[in-house]
Amino acid sequence: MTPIDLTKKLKKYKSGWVALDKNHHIVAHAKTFSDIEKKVQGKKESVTLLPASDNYFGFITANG
Amino acid sequence: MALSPPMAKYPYKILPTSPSGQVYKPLIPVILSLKKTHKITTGIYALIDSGADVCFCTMDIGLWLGINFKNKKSIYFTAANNKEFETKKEIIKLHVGGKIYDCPFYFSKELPPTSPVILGQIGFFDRFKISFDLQNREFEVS
Repeated sequence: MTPIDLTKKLKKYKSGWVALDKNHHIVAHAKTFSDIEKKVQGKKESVTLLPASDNYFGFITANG
Repeated sequence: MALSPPMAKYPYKILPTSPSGQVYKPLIPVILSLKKTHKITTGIYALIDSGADVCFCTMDIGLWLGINFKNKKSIYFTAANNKEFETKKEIIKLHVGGKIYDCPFYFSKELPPTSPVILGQIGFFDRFKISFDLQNREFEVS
């Protein structure tokens, strides 16, 4: 399966949230979760939200 | 957002790393909702993390859902760097992989901003069979 490469699309967004349409194009950006929800409400096309960053590396798992 | 079918393959997402690299992440679209407040999120990409004992969510999303965190006791988890972080538990509806069910989530202000929703063993892996296949750039949820 071809992976979805978002590296170029996310390049100009260093923080906040982005909304991606079904073709993985960024259709909205906002600083907070609350703001991005406001922006995408009422959009006819379904979108999926992703936190914006220029560096997604270095995640550490947590345990109880 | 349309829910995914019960058995589905998903492509890995390639995300940027600093200064110019990339990383592969098993991200799956989910919707979170809270019956009490009738709030339901837009689809959000969640990280599937077999190393997480439970499911986590950032506090911002919890507040947006209308969860009242006052008077909820703090539950502490330990990250791999041995640092403790505070969470508060709430059972919410998780819409994922064609199912909608009550799922305990642990809400925290201390999650990495790039991973606001994390699907761990209790609440996700105990509901689905997950097969990671990074060689073929896909994972399956069934």
